[in-house]
Amino acid sequence: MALPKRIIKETERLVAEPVPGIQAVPHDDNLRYFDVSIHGPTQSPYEGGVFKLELFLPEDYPMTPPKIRFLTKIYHPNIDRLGRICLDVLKANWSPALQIRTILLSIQALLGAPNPDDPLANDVAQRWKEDEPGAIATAREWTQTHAAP
Amino acid sequence: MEDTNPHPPKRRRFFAVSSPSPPREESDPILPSTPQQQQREPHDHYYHTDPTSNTTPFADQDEEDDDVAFDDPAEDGIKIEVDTETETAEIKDLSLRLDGAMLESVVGELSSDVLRRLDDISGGNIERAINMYLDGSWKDIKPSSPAIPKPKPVKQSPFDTLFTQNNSTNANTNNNKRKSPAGISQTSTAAAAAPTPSSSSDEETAQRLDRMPLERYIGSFGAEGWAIRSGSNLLSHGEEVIIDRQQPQQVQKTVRRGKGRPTAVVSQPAAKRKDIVVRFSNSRGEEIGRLPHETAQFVSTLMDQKICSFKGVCVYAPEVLRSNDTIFLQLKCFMLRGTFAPRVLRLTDTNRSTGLFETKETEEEKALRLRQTSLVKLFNEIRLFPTSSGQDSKAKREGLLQVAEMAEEKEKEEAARGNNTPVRDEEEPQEGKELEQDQLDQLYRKAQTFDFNSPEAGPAETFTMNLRRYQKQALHWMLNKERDKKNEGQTESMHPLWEEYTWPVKDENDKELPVVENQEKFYVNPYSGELSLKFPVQEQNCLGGILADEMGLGKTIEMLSLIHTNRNEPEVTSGSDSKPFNLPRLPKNSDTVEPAPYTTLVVAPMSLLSQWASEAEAASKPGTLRTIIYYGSDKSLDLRAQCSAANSHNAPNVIITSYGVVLSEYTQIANTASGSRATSGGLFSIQFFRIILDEAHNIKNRQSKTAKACYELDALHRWVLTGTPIVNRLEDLFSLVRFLRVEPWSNFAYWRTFITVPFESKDFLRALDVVQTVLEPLVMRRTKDMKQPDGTPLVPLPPKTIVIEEIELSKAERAVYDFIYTFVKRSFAENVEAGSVMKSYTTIFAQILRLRQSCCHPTLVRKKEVVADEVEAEAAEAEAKGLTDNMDLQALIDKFTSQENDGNNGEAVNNNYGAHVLQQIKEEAENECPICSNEPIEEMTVTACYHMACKKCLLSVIEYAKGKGEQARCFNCREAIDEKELYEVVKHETEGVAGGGGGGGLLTAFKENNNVPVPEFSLRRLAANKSSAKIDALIANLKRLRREKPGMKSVVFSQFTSFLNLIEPALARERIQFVRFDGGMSQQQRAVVLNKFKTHNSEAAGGLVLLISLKAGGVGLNLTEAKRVFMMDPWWSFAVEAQAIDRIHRMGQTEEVVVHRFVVKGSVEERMVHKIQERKKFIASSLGMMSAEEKRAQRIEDIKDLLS
Repeated sequence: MALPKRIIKETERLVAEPVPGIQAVPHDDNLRYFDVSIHGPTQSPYEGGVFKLELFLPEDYPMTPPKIRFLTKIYHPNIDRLGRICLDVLKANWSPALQIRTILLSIQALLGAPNPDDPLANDVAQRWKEDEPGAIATAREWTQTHAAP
Repeated sequence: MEDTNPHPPKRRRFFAVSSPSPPREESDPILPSTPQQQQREPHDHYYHTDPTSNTTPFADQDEEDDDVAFDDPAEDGIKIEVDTETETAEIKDLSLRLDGAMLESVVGELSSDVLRRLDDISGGNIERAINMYLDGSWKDIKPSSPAIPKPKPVKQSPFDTLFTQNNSTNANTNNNKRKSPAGISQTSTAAAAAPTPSSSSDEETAQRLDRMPLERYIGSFGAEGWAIRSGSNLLSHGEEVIIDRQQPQQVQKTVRRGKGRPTAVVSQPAAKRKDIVVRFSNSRGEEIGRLPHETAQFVSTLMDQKICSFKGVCVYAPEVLRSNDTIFLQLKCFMLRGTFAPRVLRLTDTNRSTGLFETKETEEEKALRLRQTSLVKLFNEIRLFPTSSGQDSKAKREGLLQVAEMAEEKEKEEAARGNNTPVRDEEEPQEGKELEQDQLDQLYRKAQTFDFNSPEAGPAETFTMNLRRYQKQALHWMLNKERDKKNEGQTESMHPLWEEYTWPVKDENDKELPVVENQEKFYVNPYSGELSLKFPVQEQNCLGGILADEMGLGKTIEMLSLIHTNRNEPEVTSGSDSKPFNLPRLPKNSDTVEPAPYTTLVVAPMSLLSQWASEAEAASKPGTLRTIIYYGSDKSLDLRAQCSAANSHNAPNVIITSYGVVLSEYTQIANTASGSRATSGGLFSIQFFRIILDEAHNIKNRQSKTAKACYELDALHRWVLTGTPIVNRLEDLFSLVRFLRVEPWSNFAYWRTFITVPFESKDFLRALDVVQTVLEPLVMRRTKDMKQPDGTPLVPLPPKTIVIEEIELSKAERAVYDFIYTFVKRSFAENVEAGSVMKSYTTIFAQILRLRQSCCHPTLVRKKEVVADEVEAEAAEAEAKGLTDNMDLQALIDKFTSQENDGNNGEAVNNNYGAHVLQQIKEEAENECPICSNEPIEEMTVTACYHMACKKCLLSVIEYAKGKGEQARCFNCREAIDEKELYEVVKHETEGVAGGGGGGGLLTAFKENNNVPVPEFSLRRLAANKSSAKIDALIANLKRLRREKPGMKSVVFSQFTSFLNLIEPALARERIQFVRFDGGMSQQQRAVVLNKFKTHNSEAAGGLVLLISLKAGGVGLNLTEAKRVFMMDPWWSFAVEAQAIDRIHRMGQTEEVVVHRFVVKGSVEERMVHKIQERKKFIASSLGMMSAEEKRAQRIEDIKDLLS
């Protein structure tokens, strides 16, 4: 199956004009499969960590959103233990005009602004609401243990 | 058993009333003896009751007379003229003393020598002369003249027999009869000048012939005759026996006249009975018995056809002989000199002069067959084997006999089937098996051994084009052929069909035979029964050939260079045609064809006429080549007057006409009572300098009227151009060879014996070998993929890319398609079950046609005129109605069209788009599509919220949401969007644009810095533009092309002219300029269109699209102006599409050619392309030239595949 022009273009651009703090490299044997790493945003509990993700572009991309998952353990109310991400643009608010780049930027933004009101990991969200400094500390701790570069 | 055909038609007509009709249903001499024949024999015997007078006229056989060889003018080629003249003179002299007519009426036809001698010895007393003649005593008297006269034992004309009663007119009749054939033979010699060997070699042959004794011993064999009479001492050991033939009717007559036994012994050409009785008599002339059947079979033929004479010696006979006793004989066989006279003329006669419109071939074929089998049998009997021949002679002989048997069986079958019903043009069954592809390949490979170092020739100065190297080589080759120069370095090899025999030096008793100087050998062609004393060289006696270069190598240009370079030069024309051209002759009212020494006739398919004309013009310096198209209303010219030699300054150099014109003139002449060529004043009244048949596979069927018509065209040089000399049968080649008049291959009997029959009896290699020897000197063929020695291709063509574009049908279209598909599938399955597939072929075919059309455009299904260009389906129109009238389908189509109309071309687009919106659109137009990243956006389409993307992308967004049952939203602002609220951005060309209409755009932007408002683009509701998926795809492609390569010309092929009708408005709407070319246009219209397409200045006026129907434009046209090809619908075999593509991708193409083939995904089209076309890749028959029946069977197979 030939790779759609759009994917080729996106990939080329990701390589040519990388977003600071974000890296996405396609696998040689499957150009729809990307290894992604995102630097934790500054002034966030994730600062200093480099988070690995996997990204897969399904067959009907860009009609359907890419599938993305954290590989690095992360303490975040919108990311569950399996690394799944709760983000509207990855679900109902997906638009074919969105791209890999924009999605990854959204994820980076999500790290900087957790949203415990729309949780995926309920226990984390609970703690985030009840004991935000504690939660942030744990997040920082996890970052150091799991996401040290 | 003499065949009647060598006699020219005039004579036949003269005697038409009284001559007996040629025996057809009579028992065949070679067949085992029939009861009928057995019954007849006692009668024969009855007529021979006078044994005493039964003295043989030629007791002394060694004393042969000079005349034997020449007694049948029609048969004896070159000597005729002299012979006839002296004879006529002689008879005049004689009339003073002896009444020759009277004499001949009594004893039968006499040669002049005999007459003279009889006159001499009888002293003018007719009674004495008759008696002396009959008792043979005249021969014992020493003649005063050196010639040794002798009655003519071998031949009597049937006409004499018929006219014997009429004494008073007999002499005249006789004279006329003997004169006319000779006279006519002479004319036909002139007419047939081209293929006959030059006169010098004729003389040589004649001299050689003169040196030969009148008869020469070749061998002997034993035979067991049976006695038909009883008595003692009738025959004893060692006694000479006279072998002769008898003729029942003749016997009857002579007996009635009381003049004893019959004199002339040999049967007559048109004799009613074809008996094979050979009797023998003792030296006293008493008839003793008959030869056994098997021996008589061939002996009778050999004697009848005057090939041999026989003398017998009795080896053993009972002293007291009784009927039916066996008598052992030894038969000595002598070849007669006349046999060795060249038969070329005869062959040409039969091929050419048997009346313009007669199709008599069977009699001739039969005589030939008898002759050849008899010879082979004789050689077997006397154990004479060739000293040199191409093949294992034993196997060869067996082969020949086998052929003869097959022929007989076939004949019987045909007889059983009754008369051959006349066959219609194109419909007739074709003979011969089809060639398998590998056989065809092999054949071509052999014919393609082209020597790249062969000499070149430069064209004449008047020719303006530059020839490539291989084209110069072709020119050299063609010039050589026309000037009849043998290729240098070619050794004279024996004609492959001939065998060399050595004359025996000792007779049956081991005695030395007289030696003939310089004649140790003779040559036999066992395939035709021809004999010759001259070494038979494989002759290149056809002054033309087959130019079979593959399509696109420039056959036309090569031919034009020949036309320029070999123009009527004296040595060419006068060498082979004795008629001086400069003699002012009256063209009118003369019955012969008028030579046109300056004119080349080009016969081509109608669609190519104007192309020939324009290429001829382009290749010539102005004024050096007068070219006319002889077609339609332009035909009023009197060609005869125009082209005659007298009109040398204004005679057209090239006349271009179509096969249709040739056929219609032919039919016209055939329908007039006289069948005279001359009075017509048309193509057939002229002997052209040269004829060129373009796309000559048009005459591949030798039985088609077109082919027959072309054979009759007269010319000095004959050429055929074709990319496929053999389409699928070896007979295809025959037809070309026949047209070229290549002797002896143009004789179908010959061809059959040597090629068809071996081929059909699985002796492929032999057949193909022979075909190769036929082809080699005749054909020049190069293919596009041939490489020159340095590895470069012959014709470097720019690359060609074929892209299959898969088309997704819209939902509404799909619904229509699916409906028809289910319907067709069910109906086909029903037919298969009922076994009525072939019967309801037309219905099924029409339904499949509908199905294919629904892939193109749903409304095509409804249109009545759709099938107009699909010949096969015409009849099915009515039946197909059942399908289209179906209510459900109607509803589906209506649904489709309602959507179409919904958009209501001119419906108002809300005017609330402000100028800034337009600005935004303009800016966005430069961007890439946010969905597919294409840059720029394809078929820019705007949502109601002013966001722009490719039309395809937007539609798929909506489609996708629908599929999930969601509301589709704008990719940009997430506004709800709807299919009906999409607007297409129509960019307006700033140049003047042809083809208006369409376009209900209301929103228009203007270039502001321009006083005259020029619309830049407008929006049009997308739904209004809804045509069909295929048309959309085409338009998208064409628009992209316009954007990327402005000014590029492209060609759009479709099988359905009605589909072209639908494409036209779509192009007009997009302001894409187009012209159209289809089968419904007249020749003039076509020329105009082609010319417009060719000369259209794309630089200034933008690109141009040529809409063309596959059938009308698939062959021959040259459309190298275009660089893009769009194939709208697949054909059953790709070869047809490839042909069409090659109109563009051919010599002269300067740029890469990109071909887009549109195929609807998941439809019969897909299966056609991937299954059926794939399968047919290797079938040469794909050009649709099979018989109707075969075609159908194959189509059914295809349909099965389609619906599987």
